[in-house]
Amino acid sequence: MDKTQNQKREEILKRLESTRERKRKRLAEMEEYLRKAYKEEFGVEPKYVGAL
Amino acid sequence: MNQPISLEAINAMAPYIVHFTQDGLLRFKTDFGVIITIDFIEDDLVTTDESYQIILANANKKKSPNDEKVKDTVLAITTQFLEEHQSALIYLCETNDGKQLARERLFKTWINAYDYGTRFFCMFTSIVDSEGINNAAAIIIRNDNPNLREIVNEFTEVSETLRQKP
Repeated sequence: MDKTQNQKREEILKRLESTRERKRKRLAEMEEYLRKAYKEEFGVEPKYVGAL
Repeated sequence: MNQPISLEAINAMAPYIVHFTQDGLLRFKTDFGVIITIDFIEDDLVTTDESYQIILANANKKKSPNDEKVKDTVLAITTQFLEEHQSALIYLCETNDGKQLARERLFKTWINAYDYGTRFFCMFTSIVDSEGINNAAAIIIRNDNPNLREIVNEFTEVSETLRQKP
């Protein structure tokens, strides 16, 4: 891979990491909401909370 | 969710009733005691046009049988989002817990079951991250998006560039 290709790859990896970081943050908020909502709805803790 | 979406239209199509949470998530509860939330957030992988990623999460107590109503509700939400937004929609499979293969299979089953024929373009690929892990990914775009070709080319280039070793 030449220098230009390497630069392009690095730039895409940065964009990928930024996208994933935003997703991780929102997913953590969703999981917090889901734990609370499940307990309210069913009166017990959920066994699994996470991405689908 | 920062993007507007019509609950009325979703609920006209979806078998489960979908609500907004106070935090702006789309939420529904299944017949098997699973609560599912969905959100659409900005994406940085595609730069040639506006693009969003879809995030799905769930809370449950036990494994549910294959629930067709979940698939139909997720597809109703996705379809409505695309009806209201002429942007690219990306699904990036979560890989942090080792369940990515099951997630990928499920998402492919859902999307392949959908008759998006003349309205939407859909492409599956994989995106290799900096740790060399394969992340299953998909992109869905309305066929009437004037930048369709450029978006698909860019997404393909992203996938192919990251497959090459530095």
